[in-house]
Amino acid sequence: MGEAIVFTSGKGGVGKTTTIANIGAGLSRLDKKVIMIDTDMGLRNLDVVMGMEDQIQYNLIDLLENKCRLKQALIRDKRYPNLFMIPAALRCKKVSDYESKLYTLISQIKQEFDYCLIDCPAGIDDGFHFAVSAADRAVVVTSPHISAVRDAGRVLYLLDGMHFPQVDLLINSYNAHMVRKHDMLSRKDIEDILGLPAIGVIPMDEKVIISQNKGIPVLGMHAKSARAFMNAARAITNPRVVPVDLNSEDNRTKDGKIFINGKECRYES
Amino acid sequence: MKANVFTRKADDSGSIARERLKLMAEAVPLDHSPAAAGRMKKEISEIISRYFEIAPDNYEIRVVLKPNRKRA
Repeated sequence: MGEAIVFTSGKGGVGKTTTIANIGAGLSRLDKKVIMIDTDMGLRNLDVVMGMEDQIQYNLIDLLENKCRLKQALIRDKRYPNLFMIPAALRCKKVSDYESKLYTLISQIKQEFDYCLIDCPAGIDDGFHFAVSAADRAVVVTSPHISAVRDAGRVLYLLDGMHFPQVDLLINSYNAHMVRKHDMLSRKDIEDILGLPAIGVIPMDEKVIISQNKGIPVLGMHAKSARAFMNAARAITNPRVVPVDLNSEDNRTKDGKIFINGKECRYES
Repeated sequence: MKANVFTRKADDSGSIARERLKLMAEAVPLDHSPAAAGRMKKEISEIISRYFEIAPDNYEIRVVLKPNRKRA
């Protein structure tokens, strides 16, 4: 039995779609069967980020209206095994009418797939409630921008009143250099404000733009964000395990000792 | 060697993005998939080559929507 995870943020442009594309690719590398569903009707983007825009025959609304079968609407990624996508429709009158149908579809999908990642539209209106309705878990994506953190707080408040046993936080486009100069909210600041530990921090990376231009996940490139996305994918499979980078400067003092959570760690390499 | 900012190679990612967006811009208003747009162009060029002796490289097929038409 699989899990349906919705990725939401409130604010637009913080990197929900990028995160879904790369975590989906990361999970498929971990030998999981993954499906990504784009629920951002009218402004679909996941297909463009994945480079699948020329393979679309049917979309999510066709599938919910029973105009096609699940197998027909699925688009398979050629580079990653076990990675599939269902694109959003380009037009949809009233998305809230389909909530119960989406629930049945996702229960059906969960029997076949290990992970079902749902791309939520920006905002907290009908599209948000539609995307969130059928999910078992939620990941709130935020960036260190003050507006994004505020919106993430608002979304966390909304999710608190819903059925989720677990809500996770993921910080995107993090610039460690600016944090060191105290010009950006740090990971700890964001965690304190939102009252939730982050399952991952994705650094700001130019390679993300290059990979999206080419329509491939950044995971396939040699990039610093690729490793962070892979760690985030591992954290999603097991949220209790926190990956620690022993070589990062944050954990290392000048004399070569490694400190993790304030405790010295003796690690023979 | 100085990098020339005015030349664009076909394989740099910016050019790839521009080409992909062009294809998408043609596909979206007609509510076809870009694959269908590609097939349509191929069919039209077959018809053209039936009546005229022009190599496919020498002409371009483009669908242009009139600006007053309601989009999407």
